[in-house]
Amino acid sequence: MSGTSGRARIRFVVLIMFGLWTIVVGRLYVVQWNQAAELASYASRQQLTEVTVPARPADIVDRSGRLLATTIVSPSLFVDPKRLDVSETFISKLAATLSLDAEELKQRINNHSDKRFLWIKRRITDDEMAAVQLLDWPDGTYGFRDEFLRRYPQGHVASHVLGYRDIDGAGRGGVEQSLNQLIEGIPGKRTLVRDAIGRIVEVAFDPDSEPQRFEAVQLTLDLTIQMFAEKALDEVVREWKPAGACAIVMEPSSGDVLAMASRPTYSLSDMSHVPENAWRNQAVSIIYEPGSTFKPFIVAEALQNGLIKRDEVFNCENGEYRMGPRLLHDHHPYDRLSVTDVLVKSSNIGMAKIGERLKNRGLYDATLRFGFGRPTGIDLPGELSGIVRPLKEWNGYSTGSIPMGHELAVTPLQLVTAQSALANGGKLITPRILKGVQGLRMDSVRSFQTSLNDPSLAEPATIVRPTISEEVARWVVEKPMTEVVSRGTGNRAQIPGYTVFGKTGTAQKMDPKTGEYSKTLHCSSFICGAPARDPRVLVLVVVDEPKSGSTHFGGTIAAPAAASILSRSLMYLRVPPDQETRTAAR
Amino acid sequence: MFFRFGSALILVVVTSLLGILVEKQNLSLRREISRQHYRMDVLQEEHARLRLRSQQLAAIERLFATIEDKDSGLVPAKPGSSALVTFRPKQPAEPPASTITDDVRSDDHPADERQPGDVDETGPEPVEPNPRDADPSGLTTRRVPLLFWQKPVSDPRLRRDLP
Repeated sequence: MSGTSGRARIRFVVLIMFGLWTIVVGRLYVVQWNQAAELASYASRQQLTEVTVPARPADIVDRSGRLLATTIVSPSLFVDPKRLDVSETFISKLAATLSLDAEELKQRINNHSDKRFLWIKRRITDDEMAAVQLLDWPDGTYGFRDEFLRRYPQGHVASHVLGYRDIDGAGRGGVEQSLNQLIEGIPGKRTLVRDAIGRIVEVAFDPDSEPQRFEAVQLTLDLTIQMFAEKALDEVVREWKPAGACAIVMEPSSGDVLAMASRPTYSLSDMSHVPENAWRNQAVSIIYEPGSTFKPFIVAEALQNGLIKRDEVFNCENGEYRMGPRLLHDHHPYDRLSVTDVLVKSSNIGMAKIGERLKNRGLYDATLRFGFGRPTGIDLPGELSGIVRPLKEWNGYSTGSIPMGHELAVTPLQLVTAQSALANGGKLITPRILKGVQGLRMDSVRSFQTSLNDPSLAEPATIVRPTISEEVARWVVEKPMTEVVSRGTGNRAQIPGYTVFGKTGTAQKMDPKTGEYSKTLHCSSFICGAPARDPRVLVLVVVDEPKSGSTHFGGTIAAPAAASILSRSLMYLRVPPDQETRTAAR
Repeated sequence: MFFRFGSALILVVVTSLLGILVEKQNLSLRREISRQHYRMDVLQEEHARLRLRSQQLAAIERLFATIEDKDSGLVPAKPGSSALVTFRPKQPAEPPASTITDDVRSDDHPADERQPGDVDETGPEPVEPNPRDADPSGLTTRRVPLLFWQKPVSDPRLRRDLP
């Protein structure tokens, strides 16, 4: 009996154990097989965190590699308002540490008391950070997060071209906005591995998930020439107190913008004091009637079409010429002027007679051929297209007005681009501000792959179209435009040793009160370049509404500034003087 | 029987220990990679700050101010010259004879009433540090940046081997 009972007990125990093992195996099967994917995903959610790592924005450098903008890391302070239960004294101390208004800070924290995150101050200094850490914070109520801070070591130099990055890192104005895709890069991802209590035990780096960025975006600007332009404009503003002014320096053979300055301006290292209207880059965002600086294009077009001859003489009617119902005047009465003298003396009557030869159709074609009436395509935001009315709206007045640079509006950049076409032998080239990129890698920007492989390789100049023949372009530059400087209205732009060519422009502005041309508001400009035989540098200075002084002529106001920029640029670029022999012989 | 069982047990234990060793080594290497990436971030930041500082000190505006400063001895070159600027050291002023021979001069012109042309025998004024040399924001001072994943700076893992 006892033997039977003992065996029964053993069987029972074995059965129980078998049952238990079956349950364990069954559970294992469920966990490891049926719920495997779900549980694995749950575990990885607990253990792994994927964070986005923003790419450090690329530096901006000039054509020589000098730094225009760079990025450093700066801490930003945040709090957890829901857990932050502190006295008013503490908030006052915090506000004093961070130079904030205590009342406003308290209000801000109270308004967000149900939230778990609130920025207190972004991009603070290291000293502020250290001072904040010394305060008596309740546990787990505050923290710092590193953010990128853009710095501009050159101060106000080229501020309009560069633009800036706002508090959220978005490009505003200048190349910071237009080249944002190249500058900001592509954010990467990093995986954090946490232990059971949430501590980070590993940062898993995947080379394919790292941020992609270029090391530097290289501009065509030359910082030294930019400084020449800035200095010259400062002098113009000091002497003539204009409403605005701008200067552009361009290499006519490539369309590279070597300098672009605008007034009023602001300093990128102190954005708290920006004068009114200073945001606008006057080189691309203002339009004005070009006046006499437009005349060489009409002369070139008339010569190209064979409607006038180089040695032809025009009767300038002693300063008064009736053109239909309109009576045209010259500043000084002239009897007979050659084509060269029409430009040298800037005769409106002579130009009107050339306009009559071209007729409205020819004038319209010339205007479009030199790129007026549409944006040049430079990589800068806010570029205007200027105003060229449709041909059907042109009338008899237009035949006299267009040749002297009225009835149309251009941007300074359009004018210097068109002048480049004359200076480089007739090729209209898209002006460019981006020279290339230097970089680590950035696969998504395919158009710059070539540059990536060879950082020294710049994007080639884009020729929009041929405008006029090389022969005509050379003659206009080397003959009439050179004589404008040697014996005409632009004689203040003479530079010893160099053959300078140029053209003055003085355009009346519309009086907003009367809606008619004002007798006191003018836009004075001067465009020049050198050496005439092989122009290396072109300079345009536009002065809007000069106020002090008794004159408003471009030859007096803008020419000295343009000549100053040109002469210093020629020396800096080591362009050999083309009149050295003649000067020495004298 | 006992020997076989013991051998099998030892084999299992040794294999496990080796596995743990390899796993630890693997973890250690991954940590090293992680630390190297962090160090790279730190050095990149350091490089950016030093480059910024050097470019601020050599900013074109400062160079122009130096060139335009008449006391610097630098003068713009004339057109046609191959050099951009030339250095023209200031000629020391000829001391007036009276300042050398006239011993009673000090009675006429006490030190605090010097006249133009007098020779200063006390040497040049001590040069005050240029306040523009200091970065008012303090953002270019040396600091260890935090990573974006908020690793505390005090973590000894990150402190190790840092400059």
